[in-house]
Amino acid sequence: MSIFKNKFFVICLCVALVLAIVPSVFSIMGYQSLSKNIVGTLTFPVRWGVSAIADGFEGIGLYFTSIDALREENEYLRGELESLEDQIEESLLLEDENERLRSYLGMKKKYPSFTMEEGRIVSHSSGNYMTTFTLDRGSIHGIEVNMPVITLDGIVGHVTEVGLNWCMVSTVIETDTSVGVYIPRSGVRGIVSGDYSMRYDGVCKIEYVNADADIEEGDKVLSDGMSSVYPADLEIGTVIDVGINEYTRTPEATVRPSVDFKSLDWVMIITGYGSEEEKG
Amino acid sequence: MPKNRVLGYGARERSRIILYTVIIGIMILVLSSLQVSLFGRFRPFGAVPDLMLCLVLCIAFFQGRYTGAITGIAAGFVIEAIGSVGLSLLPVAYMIYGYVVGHYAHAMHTARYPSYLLYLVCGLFLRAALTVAYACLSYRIIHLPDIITYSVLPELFGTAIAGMILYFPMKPLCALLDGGKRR
Repeated sequence: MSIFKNKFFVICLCVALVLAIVPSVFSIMGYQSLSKNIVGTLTFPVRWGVSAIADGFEGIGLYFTSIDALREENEYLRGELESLEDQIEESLLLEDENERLRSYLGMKKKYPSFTMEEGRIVSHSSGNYMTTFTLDRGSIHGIEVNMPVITLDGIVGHVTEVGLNWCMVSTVIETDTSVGVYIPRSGVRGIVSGDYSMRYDGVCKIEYVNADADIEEGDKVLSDGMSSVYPADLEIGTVIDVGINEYTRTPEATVRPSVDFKSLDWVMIITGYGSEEEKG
Repeated sequence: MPKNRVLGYGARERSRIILYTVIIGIMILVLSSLQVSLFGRFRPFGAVPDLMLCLVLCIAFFQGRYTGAITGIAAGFVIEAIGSVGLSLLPVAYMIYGYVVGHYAHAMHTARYPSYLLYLVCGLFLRAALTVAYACLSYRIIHLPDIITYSVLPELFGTAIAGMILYFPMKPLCALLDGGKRR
């Protein structure tokens, strides 16, 4: 063919053959070709720049291609999260119930002759301190007025009003409440009653004790069982202060109840207690 | 020979040649890097398009056989240096292709898109033949249908699209370089 009968073509062909074969032979023999090295070095910055741009495009592309999959995964994970949150909530409730039931069991072990009904506080009285509250148990559950209300920590109060499915409880720090008590250490007997001003501090007082009564700070105060409401030996609280009544000149002690009324949620209503020793 | 002539070229000619060389060199560097870096990662249709072939075609089509041949050698050499392993005859293949396209494009005096596409198709056949040859040399057992399906056809699709697109920017660029004259 005449187009190939050209000096220029022959020269180019020779050059091309040399440039094709020599580096290839070097490569096959395992030697690094100088020309390849030079070309590779010269093109490296451009290849690096193009690769960086390609990374950017790949990121953008992945954004668009994977966004649907990510949305789906997001929806699925949200569903899983909600389900797990429900499970956690349920398990927390079960944990609370478990703790409560353990407390109930503890009380049953402590007071085996008591029959008790569990009640949940559904509302509190208005006012600065929680001195009366309403439970979700009523006459249909066998609740009657003057039934004592306790927790594992001690006496809470007693039932003052009863409805069909509710009852109101007045705590020991309420002004119209009084409980016959005694101090096990010294045998001192008295009356624990609420005080209008003291109830806002969450405390009550022991009064009507002998003039030589031995009362100290830290003394435990228990119910004496002499009243018709509370069984004997139920913990009421601890003496935090001892003073003298300015009118009667007899000792008067301040008692902090063992029950934390602020965090109270579940209580036990004693519907019956069997032994003569426990009845007032 | 006048004093200002080197190898028969005057100063103006020499300037133009240097400009050609630099611009074509830059295009070869950029397109070869795109071919191995960008298209090496994002493989349209599953294969890397042969941008060097498209560049040789464009240069040869607009500038003639001599420029086409030299561009073919340079393009083949560069892509072989950065992208291939083992024996490669790309400088020879691209040189012949550039020379032939430049010759016939100049002989027919047509610089239009349909004739360009005709030369592109010829280039695609060349590319297919090279791919089949390399595949046969590389693998002991030859599965020609697989080679055609998974290597040749995707490569041809990508190269064809690249070639069809590259015509448009290259045309004004080559016209700017040379005022429309072929070499």
